[in-house]
Amino acid sequence: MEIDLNQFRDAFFQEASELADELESGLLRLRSAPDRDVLDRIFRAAHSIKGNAGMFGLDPIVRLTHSIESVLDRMREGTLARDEGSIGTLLSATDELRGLLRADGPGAAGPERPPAVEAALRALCRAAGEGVSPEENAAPTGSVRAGAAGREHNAATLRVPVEKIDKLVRLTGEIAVAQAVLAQASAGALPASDREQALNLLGAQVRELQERVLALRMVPVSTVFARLPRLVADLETATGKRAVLELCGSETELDRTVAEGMADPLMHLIRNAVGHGVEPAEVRKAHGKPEAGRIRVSARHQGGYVVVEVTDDGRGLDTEQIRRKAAQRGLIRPQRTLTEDQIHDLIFLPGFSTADEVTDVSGRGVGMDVVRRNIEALGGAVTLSSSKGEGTTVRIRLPLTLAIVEGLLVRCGESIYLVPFSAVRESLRVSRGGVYGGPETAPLLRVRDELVPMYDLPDLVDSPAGDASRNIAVVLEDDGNRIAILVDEVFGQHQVVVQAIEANYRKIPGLLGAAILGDGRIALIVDPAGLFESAQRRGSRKENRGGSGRE
Amino acid sequence: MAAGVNEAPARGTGYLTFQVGAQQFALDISKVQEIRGYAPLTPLPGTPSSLPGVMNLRGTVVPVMDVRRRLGMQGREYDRFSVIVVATKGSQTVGLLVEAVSDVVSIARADANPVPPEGGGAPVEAVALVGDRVLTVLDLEKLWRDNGDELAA
Repeated sequence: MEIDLNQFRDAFFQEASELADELESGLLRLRSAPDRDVLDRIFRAAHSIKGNAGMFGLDPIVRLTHSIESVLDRMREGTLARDEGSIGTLLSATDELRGLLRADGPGAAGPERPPAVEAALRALCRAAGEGVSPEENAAPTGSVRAGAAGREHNAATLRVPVEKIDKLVRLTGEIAVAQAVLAQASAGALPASDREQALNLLGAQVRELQERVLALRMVPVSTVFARLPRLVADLETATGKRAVLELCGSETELDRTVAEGMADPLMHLIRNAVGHGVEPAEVRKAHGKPEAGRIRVSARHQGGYVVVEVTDDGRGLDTEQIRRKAAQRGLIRPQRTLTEDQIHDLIFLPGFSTADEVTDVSGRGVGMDVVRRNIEALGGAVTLSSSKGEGTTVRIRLPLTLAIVEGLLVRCGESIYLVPFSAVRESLRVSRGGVYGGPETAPLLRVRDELVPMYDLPDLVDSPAGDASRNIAVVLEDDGNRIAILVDEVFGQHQVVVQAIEANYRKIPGLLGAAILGDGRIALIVDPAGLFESAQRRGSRKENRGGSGRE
Repeated sequence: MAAGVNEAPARGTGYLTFQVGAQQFALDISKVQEIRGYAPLTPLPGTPSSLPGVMNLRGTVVPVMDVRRRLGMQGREYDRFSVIVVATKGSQTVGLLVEAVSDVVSIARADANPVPPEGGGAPVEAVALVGDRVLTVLDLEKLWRDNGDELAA
């Protein structure tokens, strides 16, 4: 019995926090459009939380939601105005509610200590003319405190739409049938052609199964976007500026882990956009812009990536200021000529951001290095474009999932490597006449009208290099830089499930992980960024590995 | 391959014994998951010579340590007679490449002589005398922790 209850508790907390989100978004909508439907929905959300919390004896939550209900009731009756003040109090109450839900549910917030926000809610009710004490109605029942099922359970559970499960069930059935056909075929009951057909079908079904199982990890980006309206509303209050948030592509799906990792950097960008990008209303008016700044957050799929853009129509980056500050801080030489993009890139430097005066004048830069680091840790990239007076766009590119990598499978000696497609530009055969460079530099490979430094792949990942007769080059690109890596053979395109080597051992620099191929062999997944770093180190050492087969 | 593993020890704790070089070693049987024949390993870059590579254990990538080299002995070629002892180390699964597995013995606490502190550098828990055999009981944690990885990197 106890176990059952715990199981439901997890579900309760998950559902309750979703309802709290609904409560919040409803309240935010209520501010701009005083709509009866919205009010009803908010009321239902609060009521559901109260009812469920009651079943688990979570008295503080019951009391708080009851107070919220009472206020909402007054609003419905029209005895209480739906103004900034009352909605603000309800928003704080929602925060309090989240706190209670997070705190680990039972026991965290002592029932003896009603939060200040409840007093504020009661004050609202009294102001509406009725002195009903919320506590009297919500007579707390005897506590049923069932074991401390930690709130952290959420991190390891995933809510999956029934539709996705149904498809898996159907597919499993199909696979069972295909297996039965094959069993018959191998018993000699079916001709060879049927056997082949059944085998092909099974192959396709297994691939589909793999895709669908991985799709279970995908969540819509709306799970992250949902937090943004409130953030913008709070920022408006804090800064006294006005901003309109526009969300696009909320239905775009991405891996749960990626979505969670993206949340903080994204909120940071929004804070920057409102805090530093958007100008005060009077300045905007003077420049002929609408008084409220526009913050547009969009998400879309592009190749194997999710691209999230945060665009504001604020003042844009002041390149001159950034340049000056960077020079002052010794991040660049004062005389150096930099392109606009290079200057924008400076704000991602760790030493750049911290000082307030910089952010005040230049409009941006707080913790952009942290944003970049977080995104890169997810295997993504951040770029920025801005024009003075017109606004700034920050573009985040993230892999769809961390669980799968698609890339080029190559062989060097005995070792098999997978080079992620994100970095691969092309592969070509190296001809004798196409390689330049003397013994003092890395050999340069001519790729059409460009010379690209060329390295042995095993050498870059610190593997014994073996022989030097490799003559197939794979050209990689990262952040505008190119290198060519030499391999023995290219097997073609492959999609693999990433295994972390550190799960059983430790992280290996230069590798994203390992993968087991269809034939049981192990492929090492190279980290393109690591290859570029390694190439740079080798370049500075002027290491020569010209190779006997070439000049 | 797994001969002897099922012979339950009479008393004390069970230990799997195996041969590395001229010496006999022992490992707490409760840490041993399975014993497998040698199959070619996939080398990992930037690892010491005591880590010849990783193996595919039913779809999981498991690192394998060459116990000979790890204990400072001369390396040797491994062949189909070599054995990989798959062991559980906390939440991790690791492989130990040894020359041959002998049997399972029971070592009573009284028979095991803890290694004196001055010998603390070695990945050894104790040295035990069982019959006329001298068994070196390996410390699995230490074996992997002080692998020399950092030095080699």
